[in-house]
Amino acid sequence: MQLYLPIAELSLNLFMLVGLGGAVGFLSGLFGVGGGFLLTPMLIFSGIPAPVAVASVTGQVVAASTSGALSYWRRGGIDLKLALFLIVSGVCGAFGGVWTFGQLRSAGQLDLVISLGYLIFLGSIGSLMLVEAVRSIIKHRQQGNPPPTKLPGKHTWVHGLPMRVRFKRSNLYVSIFPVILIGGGIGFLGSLLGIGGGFILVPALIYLLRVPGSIVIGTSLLQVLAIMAATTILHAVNSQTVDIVLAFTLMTGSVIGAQFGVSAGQYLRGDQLRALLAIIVLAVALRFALSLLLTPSDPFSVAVMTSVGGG
Amino acid sequence: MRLLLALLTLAAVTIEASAQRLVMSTSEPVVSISSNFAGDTITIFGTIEPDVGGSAEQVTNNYNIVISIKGPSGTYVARKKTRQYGIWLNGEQEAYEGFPSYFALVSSAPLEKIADPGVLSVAGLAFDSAPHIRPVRRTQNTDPFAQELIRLMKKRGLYSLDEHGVQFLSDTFFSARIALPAHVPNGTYLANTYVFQEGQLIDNAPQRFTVRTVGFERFVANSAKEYSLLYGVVCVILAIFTGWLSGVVFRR
Repeated sequence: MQLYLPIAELSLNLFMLVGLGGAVGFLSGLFGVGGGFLLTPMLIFSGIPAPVAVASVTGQVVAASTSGALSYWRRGGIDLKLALFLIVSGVCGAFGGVWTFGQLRSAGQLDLVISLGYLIFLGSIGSLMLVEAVRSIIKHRQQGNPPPTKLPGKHTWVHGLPMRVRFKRSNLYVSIFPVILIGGGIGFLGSLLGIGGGFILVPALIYLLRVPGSIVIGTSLLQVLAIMAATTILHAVNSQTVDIVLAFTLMTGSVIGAQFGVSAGQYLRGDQLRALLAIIVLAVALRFALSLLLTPSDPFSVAVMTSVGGG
Repeated sequence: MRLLLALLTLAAVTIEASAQRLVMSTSEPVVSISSNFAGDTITIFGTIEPDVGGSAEQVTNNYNIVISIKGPSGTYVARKKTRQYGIWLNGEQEAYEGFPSYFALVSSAPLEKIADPGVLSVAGLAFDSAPHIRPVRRTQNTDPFAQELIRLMKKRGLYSLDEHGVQFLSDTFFSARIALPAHVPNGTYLANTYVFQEGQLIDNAPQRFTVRTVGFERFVANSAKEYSLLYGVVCVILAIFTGWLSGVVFRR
């Protein structure tokens, strides 16, 4: 059944869109990531113009994060104070990202920066996560005792910075600089690359701030929700490329998928979850590496600078 | 463009001495896009008649018809990827203004049998004819990049050539069916029908039709443009509500 998308100005199969949303929603509930880094490239591949795909996915990520965040909220898995710090700095970062997005788009190098950005961040974070998770799994096999929910409380240089703030729920007492830096960085990258940034935020919170595993996903979901809500409105006002029909179709599929993802997550250990996410992240990074390194099948591409039509 | 049309009209009037005239129409003045729009087919039909005061004998046969259908135009950019520092990135680019977003050519016979390429080009009956290729800056790349742009538009199904798309139902009555793909842009379309006889253009007649969204789809598209802030807020509220609702429904 074909569904016409009024902003994208084309028709796509309704069941394909709902299915796509469902699959990504499952992963989103499982790992606490928005799933934008998978959904955006898939939509562009389906023929939806990149600006519409990016802007509509932000709306979908809001819905997926809401249902996920509520699940974690009920389990007490959110550190509100930490989330607030991340959100405020994240919104500032998003403004910078949207501005850079516009500059690169007019210079014709947005595709390159998106590909390089995906490759560098997904590649490095995916590798780090995979190494850490595999090590943890091996250790678990050898010792046979359950892995601690909180990572070994090693104090890194991050914990020696000044202006420390206490985050009770996370059992943390850290400088606010790394918190603001992480929040702002995620906001910037998220709006620039058209992704929620959960897959960067989760490891950053785990490895840099040592946020306990039981808190990290819920807090990350809440931050992604707030930043993506702000970005959706920003896109709607700036470029008018948010397709509400597309976003609603995707979110319907994804909220259902997310519920199953959250349940499935309860049966997997933290290190197994991280290993799985790392493999998915690396696969996406590899896809972007190939697109940059292999000779393109068609060196030419076309872009519309002014909107056509009206009427 | 307007000058060219004026010239064409003038030319048509001058040739009116041969006293034949083209009468044509389209099947629907408005192509409506609703939620289940999956492309549409528009029929263009017409007849070649003796001019006022002329007699039926003046209308002979051996006519050839070429119809051009052009969608709303915009500024298009063609970019070429080149290999630098080991990776492929967008290098040279060329911008073209007034480039039609949709362009179909349908004819009753292969174009080279209807008229010389020069004649067709002057009438704008070639994708790369002068009225359609208006570079923002003219460089050595202008022409090759324009060819690539046309090739990409053909690949997307927005540019098409059908050399057997016009059928003559009698010596003087013809009809043509033009397929509009699902991703056809909204806007005003110009269908121009040209009559050729023995390699000469003897008449042409323009006809406009509109492709536009209707009902809910039109409401959404308009809201996004006119009340963009409110639209964005509604999107977010809808998203949060959907997320919340699913949380309630699936609560375990």
